[in-house]
Amino acid sequence: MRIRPRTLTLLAVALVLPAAGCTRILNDASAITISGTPPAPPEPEPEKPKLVEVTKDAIVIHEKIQFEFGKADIKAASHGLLNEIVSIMQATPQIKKVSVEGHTDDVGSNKSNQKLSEARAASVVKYLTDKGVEASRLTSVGHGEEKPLDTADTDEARAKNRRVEFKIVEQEEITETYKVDPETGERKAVETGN
Amino acid sequence: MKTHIKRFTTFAICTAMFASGCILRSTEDYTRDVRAELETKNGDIRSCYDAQLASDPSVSGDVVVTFKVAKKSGTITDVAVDPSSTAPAALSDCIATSIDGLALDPGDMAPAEATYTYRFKAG
Repeated sequence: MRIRPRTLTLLAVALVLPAAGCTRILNDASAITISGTPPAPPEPEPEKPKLVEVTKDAIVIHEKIQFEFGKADIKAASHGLLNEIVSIMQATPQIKKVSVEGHTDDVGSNKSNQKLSEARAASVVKYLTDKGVEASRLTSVGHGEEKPLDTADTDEARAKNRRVEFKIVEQEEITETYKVDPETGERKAVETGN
Repeated sequence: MKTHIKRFTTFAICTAMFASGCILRSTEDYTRDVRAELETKNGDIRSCYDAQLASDPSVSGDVVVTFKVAKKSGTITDVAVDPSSTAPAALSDCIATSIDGLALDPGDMAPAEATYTYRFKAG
């Protein structure tokens, strides 16, 4: 039997087309992985420079205490600074006595400057005691214009000379004993005493 | 005679495919080609994931999507998210929006019903 080519074509198309019409089921076993990038943790805020620092013999302030012009009234802008001194004194009972020392510039008479420096030092002591520092730990003294930091005849020098200082006049001595690991050089406190 | 039958069968298949502008793939090839098409949208989906990670760095999970592939045009339609998905709804929506309307090129002579899984991992 001889089959015509046209018959064969039709036969083949008839076979293929139904197969093409069948719905395929596609089930991909392996997941499409999406890797995300979590945001980087925020950088820690830079530490604020300390306004107040305790050294061996003084409580050093890195900001000026501001007073009303020609008076001993402390401006509100300086309350934060003084509150920090209160915190330090309360947290450091080893500091037994602090001398609060007022200084002025050389504008005006010696007498009035002396009086103003004393009044300003006393005003600071009052503020600190009102905030809870024991009065027995504080004394006040005024030096007027006698102890300038800068003797230049400039506004900058005069601004530098108008100041209040906190000198530690009595404190407990603290002894700390450390043991040093000879291999690592690591230091470990083993004893703390007065 | 057998030679004639083979020759004409091949001719007929080729003619039918040429006339329709599409091909007839094996199931494996179909699965692979659809996956490749889906992966063209991975960048968009990764952006959605990164946005989610910005608010919650621990977000992860799977999204299982089902859809149809139209015959000849190869267009992806009827995208749906399977309830077994474990990733947040925002990611499911993102996938559905991204892949809906994609089209295989060339299309296939057969339509398909497909199931694919997306896995979200914080790198």
